[in-house]
Amino acid sequence: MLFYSFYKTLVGKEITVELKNDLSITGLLQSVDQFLNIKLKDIKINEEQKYPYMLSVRNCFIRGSVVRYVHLPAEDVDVETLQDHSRLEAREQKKMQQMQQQQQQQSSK
Amino acid sequence: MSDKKEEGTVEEPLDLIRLSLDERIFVKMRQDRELKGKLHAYDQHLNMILSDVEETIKVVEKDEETDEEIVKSIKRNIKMLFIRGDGVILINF
Amino acid sequence: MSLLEPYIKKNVLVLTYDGRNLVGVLRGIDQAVNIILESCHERIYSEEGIQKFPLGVHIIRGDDVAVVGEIDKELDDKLDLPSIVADPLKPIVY
Repeated sequence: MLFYSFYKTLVGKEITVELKNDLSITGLLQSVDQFLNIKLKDIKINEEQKYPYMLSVRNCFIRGSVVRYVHLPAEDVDVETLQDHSRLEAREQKKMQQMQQQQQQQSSK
Repeated sequence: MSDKKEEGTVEEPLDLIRLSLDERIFVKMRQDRELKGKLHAYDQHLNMILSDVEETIKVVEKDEETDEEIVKSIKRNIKMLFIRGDGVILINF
Repeated sequence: MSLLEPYIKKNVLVLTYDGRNLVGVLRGIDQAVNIILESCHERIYSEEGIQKFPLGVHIIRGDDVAVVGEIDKELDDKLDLPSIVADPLKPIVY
């Protein structure tokens, strides 16, 4: 959920999504869902001459699983908050695991 | 196992990554890509955010005349980068 | 709520995992991003420009969908497809 929440803070900002087929799409982040599927508007393909597949497309949906990288606007990324959230989520993840282990032990007794 | 876990203890691979937050790490990716950058976020899928990233891509080119294979490195720098975890092979600290 | 819902009944371009370019009217979607395209055609890229290949109604499995783009009719009508020369789109590789 960490990255889903993070992307929601970037709605309206310009990002570049690099796909696993080497296509690079720059646009304004319109929305995101829990699978990290991404919707961009006012898109531009980098190296349009070489990759003229989306010349008549302004808005698009990108399936999260085809993303290789996302280039982020550094000035809009609060690294302190990200690090805190990463630690917090790691802790919660562990708690969940321990609870599941305890439940399994109890049910096997 | 004690119930109270110290923040600093390392029991699982992901603990090691947690201790590398705010540190520079090396990430080897599929497709002969390598990244160096400062880690700011990660999750259990190994999705990550790195800053001041240097990416190195190794490309093999064939010399048309001699038929020899030449390995070329292409480098680029990216200020702030999200990396999808499914492309990650290994992380070095 | 699916992110694709606002594209329903609109003319869309679907890029698939294996690098195909499909254009048609988005008739339906579901949670798994399975897609029904109506009045669909494939745009094939080659050295001889883009060729259209009619397909009728087409169902694309969600796992094969990479990108769905909303087509701007005005921009699309202005494209001279036979003059656009490019290699086919690469497949998605991990």
